[in-house]
Formats: sequence, structure tokens, C-alpha cells
Amino acid sequence: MALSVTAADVKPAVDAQADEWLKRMGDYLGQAQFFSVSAEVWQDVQLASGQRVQAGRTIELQVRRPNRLRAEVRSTRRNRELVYDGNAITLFNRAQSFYGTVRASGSLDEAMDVAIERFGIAMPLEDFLRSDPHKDLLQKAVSGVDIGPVSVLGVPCEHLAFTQDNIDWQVWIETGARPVPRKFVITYKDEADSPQFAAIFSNWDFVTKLPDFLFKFEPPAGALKIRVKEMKAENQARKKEEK
Amino acid sequence: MKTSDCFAKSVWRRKTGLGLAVGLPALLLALPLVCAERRSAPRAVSARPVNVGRSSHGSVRHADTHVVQRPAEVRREPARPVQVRPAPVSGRGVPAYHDVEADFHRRHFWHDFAFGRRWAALPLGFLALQIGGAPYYYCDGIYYQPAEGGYEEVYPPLGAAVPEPPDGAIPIEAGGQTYYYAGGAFYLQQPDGSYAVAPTPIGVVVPELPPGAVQVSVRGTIAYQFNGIYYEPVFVNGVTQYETFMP
Repeated sequence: MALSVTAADVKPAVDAQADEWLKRMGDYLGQAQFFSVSAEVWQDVQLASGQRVQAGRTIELQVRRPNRLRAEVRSTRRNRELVYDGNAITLFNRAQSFYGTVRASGSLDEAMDVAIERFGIAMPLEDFLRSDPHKDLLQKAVSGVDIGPVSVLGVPCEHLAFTQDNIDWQVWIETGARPVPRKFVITYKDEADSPQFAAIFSNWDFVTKLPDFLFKFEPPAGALKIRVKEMKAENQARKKEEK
Repeated sequence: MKTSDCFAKSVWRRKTGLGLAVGLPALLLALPLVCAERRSAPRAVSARPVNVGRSSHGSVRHADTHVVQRPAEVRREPARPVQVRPAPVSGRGVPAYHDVEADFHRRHFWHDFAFGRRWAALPLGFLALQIGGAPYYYCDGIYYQPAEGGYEEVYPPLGAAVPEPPDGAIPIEAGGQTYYYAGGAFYLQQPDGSYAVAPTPIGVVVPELPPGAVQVSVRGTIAYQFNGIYYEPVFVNGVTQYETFMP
């Protein structure tokens, strides 16, 4: 008798400690009703000459469950905001004072799905904003190990490393009462020279209240509304398959 | 000779100003050799993925997302004049915004293009072209024509063929072809290996404006105009890009 094994039958080889740490982090973030955090992001970029350089930016995130998000991405030449107020997602390019709005509703998870599937907009550090980060992060994991304790900018953390078919990713989770991510690295091992994306988190705040006005976009004087281009249907279908 | 040589030498030229005009006759004598060298070694250009890099997402959930940009259906540039009204805040020198997720923007020689700007001498390593019987000179994405007292920068002429796309040209997939976009020109590879300036495909999205594009108002909407083609700012994949159109 022939045996067939599907991908769904194969349990990821994530060691119990790594899974436990990830679950603690996921539960902590998923159950938080509101929080703010900053992240410094560094991303490998390859010049046409082949030389590898890093591009950096900072991200400020404010989340209020079930359906509010504000993200601000800043770098030397650019300043962009993304605001979800429960009814619409607004993009704001502050450098040129352009903004665009698309309708979205429902929970943060649902809005983030609409954003990526219909408009190709990936929310910054989305993996940590969803309602169940543990489940989402492990969805395609092939293996995971607990590397051990290490400090990130002086904060004691547990270092976890996971593999998937096309990427490796690592997360450093703060030990103690507040198991938040302090560092996050993705290695795109299926791309030439395996470029990396790295984020260092700081200023986690689960205390300061986030009032409604923070999530209400008011275009500044002189701002111009422009279109938000929708992805073609075939790409939307591909996105859904990837979920 | 590589385009980077052209760039480096042209920077030097711009610093030395008129001094090089003295050497122009000698350069013209050497021109056939320079051109022969450039044409003899067409370089294959590898097309980078035309997308917002998935590494920009920083997302495990979307790690399989390879292409989030969609290929455009291309319409040809219509040959008709278009009347436009300059926007209240119009002017030359619109910055070449490149609002990609990773903030990395390296200026290339052709980013410095300014229509009508005059020079006493051509950059070293220039290429001489004849387009429709008119003389043109080319250096790394910028075209020149003879003008009083020297040469002036002009829009890329249709049909101009160069050995390789300008340094830093951006591959744009459209209509089943790969265009190389630089300095407001769309280059297509020819059967002989050279790259020729093609009519601007209408309906494609480019990540940055041509250098010197002028802000205009078209039907009450902001747009930018360059060499008769219009660019509408749109959010694509969450970042500002520009779609070519004809009103």
C-alpha cells in the first residue's frame, strides 16, 4: 500500500522551549488591548554593481485592538504614515503631502488582509500586530530552536531561531514578566547572497492610553489626495493562496 | 568604456568648465575609436525583479510574496498635442522622489538632466549619434545637441540606440517586454544587442519621476509632465509611484 504524506501532515520540528517562548510572546501581544512601540529597521540592499549596503528607517507603531492602527515610517528622505480607523486605511506621504484612502473594515487582522491582498500594502512588522502572532509566525515553520539567553541592547532576552522553506527568521524575546520581541531578523535564503531584514524594538508601552484622535487622519492644509492603485485580480488570487 | 567612466569624467568636466573646450578637437578625432569600443562590447543586463522587494515587508507571514507589482497593459503613446495648465506650484527641478520601502536612493548621472541646459564641452566618453539626420551626443542617460556656444541637454530622441542602458536604469515589465527606465526614457533591447529609446508605454508605473518633470494640473488633478508624457502620482503597494498617461 502506498503512503502519501502531505505538507499538512508534517508537523514542524519546533522544540518545546522555542514554542513556549513564542507562545508567551504571542499571547502577551495578542491579548494587549493597546500598545505603542518603536523599531529601527535595517535592510540589505544590493547596488547595481553588486555591492551590498544597508538602508535604515524607523517605525513608530500604535495599536489599539480590535481595529485601530497607526504606523509612521521615517527615514532621511521620507516620512510616511498609515492609519486604520476601523472604516478606512489611509496612506500619507508626508514628504510630498500626498494621501490616499481605501475602505476597509473589521478587525485589525481583516484590515491587514485587505491591505495586502487588494492593495499590496504590507503593514510594517505585521507579524507582531496580529491577534495571534504565535499561530501566524509558526504557520510555515519547518523547524525552530531555542538558541539560549542573550542580551539585546542590555535587555536579557531568549534567542529563538526558525526555518521555513525560503527564509530563516530569528526573534529575541525579553525574559521576565514582559515577553516582548526586542529584535527580529529575517534572512531571505532563496535570494542571491541571502539579504537580511533586521528590526530592533524599543519603547514598548502598554500603559499610555491611545485616544481616538490618534487614529483619525486629518489631511494637512495643502495635502493632495491621490489614487491608491488596486492590484490586478490574478495577483489578488495569488495573495490569497499564500495565506 | 563603461558609463561610470563617462560619469567620472563628466564630473571632472563640470568642475573644470570651459577648460576642456580646448581639447574638443582632439576628442572629436578620437571619437570613432571611443564609439567603436563602446559598441563592440554590449553588456548583457540582468533584469532585477520588478517589485517592491519582499525583504522590505519584514514579514514572515508574507515571506512567499515575490511579486506585488502587477505587469501593466501597455498602450502606445498617442501622437497628439495636449493642452495643460500649469499648476499653481509649478516649476523646474522637481526632486526625483523615489519613495520605495527601503530608503536608499543613489543619484546617477542622468538624475542631473535639465532640459535646455548648455555646456561648452561634451562629457568625456560621449557617444555621437545621428537620429533622423540630426546630430546628437549621448553620455550615460543624457542627450545633447549642438547649440550656440556649445551643446545643450535635450530630451531623449526616439530611436536613439546605445550599447547599454544608463547606469542605474530601472527594469520595468510592461506589455511582455522589459523596458529600462532612466532619465525619462524607456529603453528596449534590440536584436543587435543595443538598447534603443522606445515610445513611452502608457499605463506603466515607474518608481520615480523623470528628472526635471514639471508639475501641472490635469483635469483638476496633480500630475507631472516630461517630454509630452504625463505622470500621475499613485500609491502602489503603499508607496508613491507614478503612472504614465495621456490626458
